[in-house]
Amino acid sequence: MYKGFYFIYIIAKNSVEQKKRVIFQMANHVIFLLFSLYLYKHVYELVPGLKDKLPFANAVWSMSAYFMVFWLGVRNIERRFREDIQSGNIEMYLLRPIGYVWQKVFVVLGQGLYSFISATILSVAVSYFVVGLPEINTTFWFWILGVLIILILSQVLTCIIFVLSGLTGFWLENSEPVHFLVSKLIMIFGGAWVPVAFFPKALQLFAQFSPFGGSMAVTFTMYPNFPQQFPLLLFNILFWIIVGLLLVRFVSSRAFAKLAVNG
Amino acid sequence: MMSLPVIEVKNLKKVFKHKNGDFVAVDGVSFSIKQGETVALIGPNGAGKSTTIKMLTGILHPTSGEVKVLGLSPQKNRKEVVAQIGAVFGQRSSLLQNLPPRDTLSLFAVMYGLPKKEIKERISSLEKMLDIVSFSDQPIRTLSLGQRMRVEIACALIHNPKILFLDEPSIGLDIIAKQALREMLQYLRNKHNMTIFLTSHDVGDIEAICDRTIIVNHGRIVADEPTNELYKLIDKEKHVEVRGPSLEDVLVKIYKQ
Repeated sequence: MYKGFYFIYIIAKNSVEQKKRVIFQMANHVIFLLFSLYLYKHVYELVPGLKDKLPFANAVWSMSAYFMVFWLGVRNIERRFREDIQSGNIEMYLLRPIGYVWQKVFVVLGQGLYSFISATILSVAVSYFVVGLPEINTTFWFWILGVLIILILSQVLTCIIFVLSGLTGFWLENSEPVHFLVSKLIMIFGGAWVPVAFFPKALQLFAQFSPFGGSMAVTFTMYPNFPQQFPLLLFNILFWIIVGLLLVRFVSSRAFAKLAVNG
Repeated sequence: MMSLPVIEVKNLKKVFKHKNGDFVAVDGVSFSIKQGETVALIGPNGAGKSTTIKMLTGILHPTSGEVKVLGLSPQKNRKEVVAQIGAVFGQRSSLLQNLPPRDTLSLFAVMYGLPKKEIKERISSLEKMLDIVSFSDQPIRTLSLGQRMRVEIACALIHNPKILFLDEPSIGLDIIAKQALREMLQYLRNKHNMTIFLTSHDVGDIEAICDRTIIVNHGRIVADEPTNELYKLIDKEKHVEVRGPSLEDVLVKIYKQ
């Protein structure tokens, strides 16, 4: 545990040395957030019935939550795998006493840490000043606790999904098409394009209970019925985490035996 | 003191599968290395040197044959083996570009599970031993290739390994940096009785550091002799040569002046 935290700390320190990068990222974040907010407002005015499905404030917070985890950059795990496999640099990581997959997870978390913290503060501030708090059918502290639990577990699930997509690189050599497919499925079923509350009922169920929707479940924590959905969301994410871990174990042992790095 | 074999390789074979047919990189190689020996594995490009070192360090899985490092299989007991070996690959880097050497060294120390109390002491002794002190607070990206190589070696030595594997460690280094590297490896061999296994295209590295040389070609061992007896393999006639300092020695002196 300590090794993991120290690893993340050192990588975060290495990435924050480029302060200008983080500042530029956060400027992008605020611009995207405000632009999306403006578009959402326009769509809500055009289609008055939308607020019955999802109040405007909840839609804004849901979108903010999506942008918040976007900057943690867990999806970059696949790219790290791909770069290491193609360049042969993977061998340097295999010489260390910590497993390769863990190292890549620590690297990605360390690189995204400062951006994630900054984006979270900005998302909360912008959303609060624009629309106030979302309407959730529960107490404030239960909601916050629920958000934290779902946030952590859904990011664990996202890590697992992108580790699996990265591991396909050992067979495909270029896992970019797999990454494209997986990241787009996560975006669609995580409500990045259109809030899941606006989906047809069957698709809504699929979004909430598929691993792709599960990995972005933090966006569902901003919906008014989150307290009622919480046990099911939790069960769904835990289920996919267990299935994912078993798959990672099975696939990674075969992947590393297949590794070929020429001289 | 030389004693038990720390590396044992029997009939080692590695075949890479390609669309255009299989490529046999290592073809039935066998040798053993005792504790404290310094051995060079040399041969032309594509001879199978790097593939062999990668199988010894657990990176690649052999197609057939057996590898034992410190009595363990580097593939089946990867974590136990990497905890006892150090490795430096001249064409790759383990360093964090935006941070000073001290941060990378402390990350390696934590990864290898060194007790917190020992970490500072170990880093400072390596900094002195490898002459890193003067640039230990500078970001890696501002260092020269020779300085980076010293930090790479410090990372490989942080956990006090029993065997040091080096794959073309002097590649790209100027002659001063090469000489410093050789002196460093001689020191590790003489003072710490460290087993050193290296691949290199630089004959100077081999002459300066290695007691024994294994020559490979097309994946097979073609010679395995003490380094100072290698000439016997080709010399049909005895001749005496009187030479002044080599060009390399001359350049080292000029650069140092």
